[in-house]
Amino acid sequence: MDLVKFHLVAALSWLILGMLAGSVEAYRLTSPEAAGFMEAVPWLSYGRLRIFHTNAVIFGWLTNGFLAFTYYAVPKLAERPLVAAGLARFNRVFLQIALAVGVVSILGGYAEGVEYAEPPWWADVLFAVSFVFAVINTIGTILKGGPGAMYVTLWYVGLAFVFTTLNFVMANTIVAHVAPGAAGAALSGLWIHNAVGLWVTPMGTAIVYYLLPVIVRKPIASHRLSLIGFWTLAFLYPLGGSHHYFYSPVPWWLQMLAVPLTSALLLVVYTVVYNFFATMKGSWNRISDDIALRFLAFGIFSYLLTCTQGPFHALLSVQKVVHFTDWIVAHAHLALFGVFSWWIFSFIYFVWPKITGRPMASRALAEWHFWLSVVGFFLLYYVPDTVAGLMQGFTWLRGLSIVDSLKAAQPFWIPRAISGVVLLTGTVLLAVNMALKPAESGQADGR
Amino acid sequence: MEGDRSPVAERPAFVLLVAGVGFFIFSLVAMGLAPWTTLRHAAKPPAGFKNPYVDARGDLAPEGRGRRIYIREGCWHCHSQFVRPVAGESFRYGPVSRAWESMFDVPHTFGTRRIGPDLSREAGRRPDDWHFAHLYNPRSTVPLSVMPGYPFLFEETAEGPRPVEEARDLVAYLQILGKPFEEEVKAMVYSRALLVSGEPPSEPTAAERGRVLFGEHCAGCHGEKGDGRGAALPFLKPTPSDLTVRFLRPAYAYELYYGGVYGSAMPSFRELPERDLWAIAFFVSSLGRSARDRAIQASSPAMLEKGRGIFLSQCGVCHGFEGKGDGPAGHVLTPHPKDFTRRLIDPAHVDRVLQEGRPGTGMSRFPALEAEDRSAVAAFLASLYREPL
Repeated sequence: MDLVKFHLVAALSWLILGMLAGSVEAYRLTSPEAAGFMEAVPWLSYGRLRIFHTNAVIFGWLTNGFLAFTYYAVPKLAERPLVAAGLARFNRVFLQIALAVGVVSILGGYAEGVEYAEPPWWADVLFAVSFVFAVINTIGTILKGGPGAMYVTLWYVGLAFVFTTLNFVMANTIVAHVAPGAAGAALSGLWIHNAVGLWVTPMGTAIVYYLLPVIVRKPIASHRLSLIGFWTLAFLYPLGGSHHYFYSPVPWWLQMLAVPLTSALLLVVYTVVYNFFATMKGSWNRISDDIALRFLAFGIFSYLLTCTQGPFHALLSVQKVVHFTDWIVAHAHLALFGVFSWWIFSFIYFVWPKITGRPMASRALAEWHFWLSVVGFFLLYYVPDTVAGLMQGFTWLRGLSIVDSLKAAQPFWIPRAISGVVLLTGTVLLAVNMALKPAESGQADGR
Repeated sequence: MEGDRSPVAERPAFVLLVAGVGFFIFSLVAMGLAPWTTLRHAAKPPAGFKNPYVDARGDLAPEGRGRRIYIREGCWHCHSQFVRPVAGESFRYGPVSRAWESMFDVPHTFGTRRIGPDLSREAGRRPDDWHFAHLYNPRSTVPLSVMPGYPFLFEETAEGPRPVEEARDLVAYLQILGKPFEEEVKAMVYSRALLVSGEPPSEPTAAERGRVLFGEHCAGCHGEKGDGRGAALPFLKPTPSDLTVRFLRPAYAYELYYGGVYGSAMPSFRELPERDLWAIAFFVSSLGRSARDRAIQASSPAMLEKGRGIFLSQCGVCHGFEGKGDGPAGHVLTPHPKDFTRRLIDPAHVDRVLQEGRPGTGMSRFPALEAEDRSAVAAFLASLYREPL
């Protein structure tokens, strides 16, 4: 159990660092002059800190969170201990070293030019080795876990680990060092798309398929739908990657294919969403007193929203306006924060009492964390930033200058900068809640 | 979990091999390698298009080093590098991007976000000194910019900040972006096709609006008061014009703002709405009113005769013998010699420029001219003016 705990603490530390960087960046866009003192320090340069932010949250927070989930759920589902528990214990520290080397190299001015794969080659090697260690344990445990069918969660976990290993190596070799120009763009579209689609998405879905039946004590409504959802995700998702470079010099046939292939993802999403709603039938009253279930449910709402947005963006007439704008930034945060981070929060509220042997210290802190995260995110981040994106897109479409698009967007960047403080506060409350011992007389809560 | 009777699609090894490995390879081939093959046949560069990042011996050229700085600083997270064939982007940036342009970019720097403008058509759009001023403090050239400054690419000297090698490499890189389209971009940005003959009636609110817009777009270089002493001053050669010492009628000012001044750091502002450009034009024109009055008062017939003689012998070869800025030697100079039929200049300023020259332009010092000669030239220049006052 120590393994799960360690990864969760590491995950949360990365999240706080990543959010801190994100908040600073959001503030700098509203007051570049006031934040000017940071410009003299190369390590705090805007461009470097931005890369730090994305890497810290995707690889530090989400990946550590998913590993914590993997090490908790896989042995339970495979009905056997991890095949190499010693390796996992070594790797929990080794991964943090690999990540730290990566982000320090970025801040020190060694970033490479592949989005979401910016750490230089030495950090890539460390991370890849660490990831393979995790794969050995995960896949090894799944394969040795008895001859029978795997539970849905294990399909997703297996897919995510295998696909992402290959994808990561592809991005940091072919995209970073071999593929030129437009060919490189097609391949990096594949990488960034699949980093979200075949690492974050299946791991998140795995969490839902694991937590939901356990929490509501009912089987998943439709096994067949989960099967359809899984195979369509695995097959269709990787094929839409070029939608990140619409109207670019990437071959037109590829861009054209990306439109229907991206639309087809609605099928993938709605199977998961339907299964969630159908399983929840009769259990909705539980979301008021179960924070884990509530984060799971609100994550599903965001999931429905963000994944419906996706195919909508892939329509060329929409793309014309929203591409390159904050609309996309809002969309990405809806997915990575509003969906997958909430699902990890859900896992934390579910698992923390189990691995520490005591309930969460404070119900009030948990409620504050939830409402700050949800209201803070939608009201102060998602909606204003989406509007900022529309302002930018239509300012450009009218042929106005770039400066005018900044003027139009800036009022909406102010709530975004405030949201940094709000969301960070929520996360710190979670950390405090995990660290505190519950009062002896306090009523048991959470889970 | 029913043992061996599970469908094949749910067995671990099948899932891992088919979904994990198989679908990865399929997507890599179909969506990555296949387009790469297409591009090899479709993306033929024009003759003479060579790798700009290495020199003849294969070593990394300044442009190549600059590209590395561009990547390491994450510039590509806020600046895209492709012009789309939609949303009027070719009006804003220039010709739509072609696949062969980026054939030497490993990794590519297309980018997925534009907080600032696209940079794939930068070659020839702005001079180096504009870029240095902008890199040191973006607000100096674009007062409303949210771009971070890069003072660590500069060293502080007694005469002000000077770019170190890294800054020069970075600017060298920016200046080759879209090099094959440089002439097209230049013709588009520094348009000389526009001749404005009349002026719209000035709106009651225009004066205040002009002042605000001047602060938002012009004050970084020309200073809040328009005296040419803005934050970008230490970087720019020629220095930004002092707008209080010369008079342009609004229609001519409009032309200049629409087309920029090629060879100086003065960019084109043609993306501003027509009304805004007019508001700025009226405001700037009003800054030159007292210079206009002084220029007109300064002349007497004797001085004019003397000034004409000096002008024809010393100035006409560049400024044209009718003072239109079209002298035989003037055509090759950037920025072009001034057209005196369209501007009135404060005699004191003429005096100063004749003594000091205008570094960064073809205008040299004229130490042989006495004070009296200089005021004669100033008087003659004022007499050349042919526009309405």
